[in-house]
Amino acid sequence: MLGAFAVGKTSLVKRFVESIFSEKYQTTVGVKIDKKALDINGQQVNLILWDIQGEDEAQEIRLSYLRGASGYILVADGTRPVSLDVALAIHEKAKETVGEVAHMLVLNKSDLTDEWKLDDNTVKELTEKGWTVITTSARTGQDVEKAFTVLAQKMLPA
Amino acid sequence: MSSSNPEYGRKSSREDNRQEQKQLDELRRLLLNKEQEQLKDLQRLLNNPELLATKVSRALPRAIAIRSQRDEELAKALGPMLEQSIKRSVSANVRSFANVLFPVMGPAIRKSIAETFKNMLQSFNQVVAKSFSLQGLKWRLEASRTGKSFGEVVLLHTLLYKVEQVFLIHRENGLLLQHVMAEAIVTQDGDMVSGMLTAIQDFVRDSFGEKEAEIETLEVGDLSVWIQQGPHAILAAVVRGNAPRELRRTLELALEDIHLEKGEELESFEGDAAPFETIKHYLEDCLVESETKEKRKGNTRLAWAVICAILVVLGVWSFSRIRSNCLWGNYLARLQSEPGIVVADAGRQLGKFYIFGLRDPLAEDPLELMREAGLNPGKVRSHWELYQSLTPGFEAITAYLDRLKSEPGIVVTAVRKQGGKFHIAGLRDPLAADPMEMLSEAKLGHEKVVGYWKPYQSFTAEFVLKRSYNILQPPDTVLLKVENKTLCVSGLAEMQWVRDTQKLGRAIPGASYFDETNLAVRELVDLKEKIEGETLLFSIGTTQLLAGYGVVLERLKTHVRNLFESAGSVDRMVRIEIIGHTDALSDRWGWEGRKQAEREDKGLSSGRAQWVLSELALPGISRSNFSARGAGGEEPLRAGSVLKDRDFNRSVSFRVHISTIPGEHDR
Repeated sequence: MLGAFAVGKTSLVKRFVESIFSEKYQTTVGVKIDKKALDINGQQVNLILWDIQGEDEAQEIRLSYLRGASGYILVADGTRPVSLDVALAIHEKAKETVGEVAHMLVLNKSDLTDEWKLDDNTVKELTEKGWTVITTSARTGQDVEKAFTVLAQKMLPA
Repeated sequence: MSSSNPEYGRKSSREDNRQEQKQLDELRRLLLNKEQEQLKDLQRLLNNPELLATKVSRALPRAIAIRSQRDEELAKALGPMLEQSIKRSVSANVRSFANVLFPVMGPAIRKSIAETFKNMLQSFNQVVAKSFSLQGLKWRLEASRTGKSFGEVVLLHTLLYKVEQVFLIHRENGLLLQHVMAEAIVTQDGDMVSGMLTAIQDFVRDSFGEKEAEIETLEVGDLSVWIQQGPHAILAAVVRGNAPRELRRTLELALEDIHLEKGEELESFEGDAAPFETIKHYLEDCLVESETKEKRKGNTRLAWAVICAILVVLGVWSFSRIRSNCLWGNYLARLQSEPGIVVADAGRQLGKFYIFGLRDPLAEDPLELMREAGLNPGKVRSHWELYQSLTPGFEAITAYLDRLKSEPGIVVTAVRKQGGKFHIAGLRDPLAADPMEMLSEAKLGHEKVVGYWKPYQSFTAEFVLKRSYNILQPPDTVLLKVENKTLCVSGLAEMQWVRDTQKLGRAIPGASYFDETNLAVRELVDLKEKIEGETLLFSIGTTQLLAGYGVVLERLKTHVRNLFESAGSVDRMVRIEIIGHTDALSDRWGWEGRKQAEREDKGLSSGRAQWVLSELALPGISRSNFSARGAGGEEPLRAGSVLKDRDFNRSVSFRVHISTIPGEHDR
């Protein structure tokens, strides 16, 4: 899980995964490991989720945590368009570290319709560029499961 | 090449010169065309680096081999270059170089460490050796018992630890490949733990700038995580307590083995941990723990067991000693009351009983009495001298035994006195006298003697003869005799008995040979008498039977046939002598005439005999069984000179010889 500070990565994870570590890890070690078991076409897939501390001015993302990753979810906050830019920037860095692996974009906080700042065109442009974009709400749980499932499907060999 | 000579100005000469040159070129082309082509080829080769390299590469290995055999110039020249290239290769990619060296370096480093550790242990030994305490003494004992060095034993006793969990984690992505844990250990989800462990390593590396540094141990209180790094995988062991350095070696070995067995799978790992199920045992081998506490418990238990065993042994020993003393006393009393036994000395020496004395061979067996008394004869030293007791009880039995020994057909093999009775064993021919009947003669009660007689056949002549009479049941006219293992049968017997005897006589035990030479068969004797009683009379001067003697001849034929048939069935040979006679008329003439008459008589009598032979040699009877001769008037059947006697002497008479077939009596 990659993204800017406070886009809701942890909330997304928290809602649907099993966890044994406290959130304290993220602020100390910079990452928290969780596990999500999924059933993809009758096949049991365990996603080991590295919920990496969000990037902001003060803290750069630890790219070494990306090493060996099979895929990643970029999370942006739909109420803060700048977070999308951060996510796309992270994507570029991640590509350098791990190469082309499965990835997707999640636009979170869809429940905050009043404050939603991203227009449909932006999303459409991204989709045209080949991005998989899913709009979720960690609060209502909307499409969260779907997001993980889509990533898992992308990661599995065809 | 110069083409003209300036000294010649004339045109013709120049032309000549050119002409000459042209011809020379032509000649050169004709002569050296091939070589020129080759030269061109060589030039092309030298100018083209690609081509040259290909050619040189063919000769290069061989050239290097030859040069390096000759001297070390090549090695000297290449040395700096090789160093340079290795340096460059290492600085370009440290990891791949480390990966290559990993399987080699591990054992080499370990060996050197082990050597250092050994030296350290030895000096440690010396230090501890000086401290002489009860504990030290105990450990020293243990060291000598287990064959370990003293220092090792000390270390073992001071280290208490347990490996609770072992994780095998993929180095690249931190995914869990395999996870084992000791019994009764509650653990968190291995997948997440291994991920976090990897994250922490990354964190430490990133945070403190040591890019290639490896975390070896994480410690929290009593618990520590030992991390062993491999090229593709990490082994993490969760250890409670104070583990020895040996554990590091165990982890190293396991990780090396795993890389060796699953190297390819590790390199191409994409998330499916199933192939690593088979290497679980390497991880399980790492789940070690020190068992010091249990051992101690075991030792005290062992000590108690030893003490108990000693007590039991002591108890058993003293009980058996008291018991054996008691039994020994009873045994001595029994021996002293036994006739024919005199105890000279008895006692106990070095924990073993001994007894010496005299014993009549007919007395009770002291060893048997010992067994009856409940003592083990193997554990008592006994020595018995034999002597002849003069006690009254023994006189009677001695006399009885002497009597038995002198009795034919009886052999005494063993005599023993037991339970107040004499047990006599031996062999007895069924035809011998009954030993029990002899008891009363020896004035011994039947209740005092028990006989064990095995029937056997005595081969003494006496018994062979007895046996023969028993088996053959001969008639009164027959006499049996046994001489030199030969059963001789003589006398007269019926044919049936002779036939039976011929079979049975050869099967009598003790008689190796059978002789019936002197046994006559009644039926044959009758026929012989009948034949010999007949006389055939002839008319004067002829070989023709008198009238009425044809009947006699026929009767004779019947007798002869019967005789040969019967003789054949009892293995007898028959020879019939046919004797021709004349009436000796030559008496009436002078000496010359008598001579003449004698010759004539011989001829006539022989003719008569020959004629009868031809009549009697019936089909099936060989002529060789007959003999015919003319006696003339020399063997007159009747000596008288009356006419009737003379008639009788013109005849043929018979003599019959019956004999056994020679050599037949041999068995």
